[in-house]
Parts: sequence; structure tokens; C-alpha cells
Amino acid sequence: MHGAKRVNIDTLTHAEVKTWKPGEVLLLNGKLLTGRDAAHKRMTEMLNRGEKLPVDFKNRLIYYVGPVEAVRDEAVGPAGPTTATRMDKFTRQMLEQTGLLGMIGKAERGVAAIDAIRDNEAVYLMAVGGAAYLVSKAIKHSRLVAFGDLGMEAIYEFDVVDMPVTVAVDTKGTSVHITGPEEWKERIAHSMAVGGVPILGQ
Amino acid sequence: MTNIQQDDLIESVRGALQYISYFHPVDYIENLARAYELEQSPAAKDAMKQILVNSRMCAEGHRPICQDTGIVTVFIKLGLECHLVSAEGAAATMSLQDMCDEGVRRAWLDPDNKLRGSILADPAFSRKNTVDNTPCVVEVSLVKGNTVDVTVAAKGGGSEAKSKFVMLNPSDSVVDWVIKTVPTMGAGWCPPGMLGIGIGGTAEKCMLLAKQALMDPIDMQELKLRGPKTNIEKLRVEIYDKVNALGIGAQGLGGLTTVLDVKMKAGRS
Repeated sequence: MHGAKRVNIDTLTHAEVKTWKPGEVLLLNGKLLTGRDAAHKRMTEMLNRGEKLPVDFKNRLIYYVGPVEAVRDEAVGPAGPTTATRMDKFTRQMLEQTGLLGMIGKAERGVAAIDAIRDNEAVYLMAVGGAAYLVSKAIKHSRLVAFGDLGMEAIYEFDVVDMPVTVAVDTKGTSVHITGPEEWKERIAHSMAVGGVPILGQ
Repeated sequence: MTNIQQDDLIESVRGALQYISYFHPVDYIENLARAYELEQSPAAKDAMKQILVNSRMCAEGHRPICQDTGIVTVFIKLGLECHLVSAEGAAATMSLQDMCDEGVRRAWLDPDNKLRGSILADPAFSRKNTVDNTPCVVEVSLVKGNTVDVTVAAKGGGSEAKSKFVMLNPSDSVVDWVIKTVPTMGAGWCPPGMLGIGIGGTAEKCMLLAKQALMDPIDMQELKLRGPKTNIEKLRVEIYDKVNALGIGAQGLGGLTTVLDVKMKAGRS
């Protein structure tokens, strides 16, 4: 994938993620933690009770995913991103109380999550939904870390090599899910006005 | 009277669910490939490329296209001349719901291609994953004849979670409501996709019509080529053009194609 930047996610800092621009393609290398709805509910309840989490999220990325179980020699079955918007209500607390640096999912983040990302100089990265088997090829190893009773919603640690993601919300709070459609709605309207078709040879 | 073996029905449901877990239908691939060729937004184009490459890998590797292997709905048109029987020809030993659930269970637990259990028991309270993806939803209609027609759908939770319903006032515009509503759905339904729209009947009937409409093959390009003739066809084309003009694009990143088709069923169907 030309133009993509290799990133070591085991050594991330705020300083490094601040350099990432909206729409930039990154190839992630290192260890990712996973979790989605049920894990976030449980973790925020633990934080509210002052309990220590089973996992240290400091300077790490979380991947919102509920994977398919592995068969044969797979590290993990298809493991594409789930809709990040559903985790918006947990985002500020996770960023502010666990040291979490960034999140990976699909679809847009809402205003509250974007504000939390900006306030905490964190990032939101997107992986392509519907390319779950392809993305699972970047996952070389998977181990269960916590909340095994949640099945696919448990917290796993994935070892990833060159997992392709796009910066969807940068540390300044610019969201490609807002800027992208805005730009293309305008371009289509312009083409319609000029030539009566949504695409010209532009 | 035609005897239909319950084991045949179970095996057919099982086989169909395994099949659709790793094969996209041809009409989807052809239409997505066309949209990919025409796309001018680099981010949207790359997303569609990943989806197409993934589709081919799954067809070859026989593993699921998406980690969300879906919630199962089985549409059955059961001929009134049919008699569901057990192996010995005696009365069936399971309900139709149980037969479909057994087909789902066997498909989901297949050791060579395990699918993901996404169904929760006791959804209002303890919300415990059932592991085998049961129960499924069975929609059955009794029709004339001696055959059974079964359509199996495994619909991802991401798209199902975006289902919308409205009671419009008599003079309200369906088009306006759709165009106002689609942007609120975000990208969690993984555009480019299809809209299924049901109009009329009662609250639950029109939702069923919307779901059933999605089972029809994609034919928007053929429709546009020959020109829409019926009122429903004209409404489909109008909504298709106006939704794509929103510029939401593949994965909501901005682009030319947001929907590959708009399917519709209205009234009694």
C-alpha cells in the first residue's frame, strides 16, 4: 500500500500520535488489546468502584472487535472492526482514567467522543468493515487476557504485523467521517449542476 | 400430499448458512466492482478494494466474509399440500422453529468453519451469549401447492442496528423522510449497501416488507438502463439517486456510491 507509514504500537507516545494526520494510512506493528460493549461496561463499572483493571492500557491502543474463533492453524478467525460509535459513552473515562492512547473501529465517532479525543490528545483509527478475513491475516497471535466469560466480547491481546488502518479522528479532533462526506456531497452537487451527472472526468 | 423430511430441511438450512458465510452473491460483486471502477474518492476506492479482495479470499478459503456472521432469518413458503415428517415417515418430532434452530446450530458449530455466536438469551436482563447463534427468526406463510420455498438470510448486527421505523402523516413524503434519516445512520452499516423499504400495512407488517425486499437481486443498473415504469420503480430510482448524492460513500469516508440499490415492497406482498 503506497504512502502507508509503518508504526510500532508497543512504543507509542502522545508526541508521536500528535503527528498523525486525518486520512493518513498507517501499518500497525506490535500488540493490540481488544474489547467492545460488554468489556467496556464491566471496566467502567470497575473504575467507578475504584477497582484495578485486569489490563494496563497505558499508552496502548484498543481494537473494538468481537472476532470469530480460530480454526485449524489460524491465530484468530475473521476479525474486522465493530462500530466504534457504540463505545462513545465510555471514551472519556477510558482515555482519562486508564492512559489509553487510541482506539480502532469502524464508522464515525460522535461529538462527545471527538471532544474527549481532542481533550486527551488521543486518536481514533479506522479499519475497513467488511474486510474481516483480510485484516485477520495481519494478526499473527491471539491470547485471552481477561473476561473470558464474555466469549467473543472478552479482552484479547493480538500480535499484529502491518495491519492497515486510517487516521479517522486526529488529536486535534478533525474527523474524516465529517470532512469526507461534506467534500463529496459538494463535488457531486457541482457535477450535477455542470453536467447533469454525479461524475465528470475530474 | 408431499412428505418433506425434517432432516432435509435442517440440512438445507445448515448448508445454506455455511455457503453464504463465505460467498457473496454475484449481483453484489458485479455492482460493487462497477462502483469501485467509477469511484474517484481515494479513501472510498481503497475501502471497496479491501472488501473485494476480502471477498475473493473468503470464497477461496471458505471462511466468513465478516466477523459478524449475522442474525439468521428464515423465510419459509410452506405449501398446504406439504406434510413435514420424521425419518420413518411419522409425524415431525420438532416444531418448525426447532428445525430451523437445529440448522443454525449445526452451521455455527461446524469445526472447519466456525461462525460467531452473536445471539443473547434473556436480552432484557442477564444477556448471556447462546454460543450456537440460536434462536433464529422464522417467518412462515402457508401457500397453495406441494413445495417448500426457503430463503435464508444471515444479517449483520451492524446493519440491523440501523433499522428505522416511522409512522408518517398521510401527506408526508417518503423520499424526504429517507433522505433526512440516512445521514443519521452513520457508517456502521458498512456502505456501500442496500436500503430495503417497506410501505403500508401495520407497524410489524411494513418492517417485514422492508426485510423481505432486501432478498431481491440487485437490479438498479438494469432498471436505470431500461427506464423505471411503475410508481415503485420510479420511487426506487429517485431515492437511489438522492441517497448517493449525499456523498456518504464507502465506509462513510465520502464518495460517489453509498447505496448499490434501493429495494421496496408496498402494501400486500
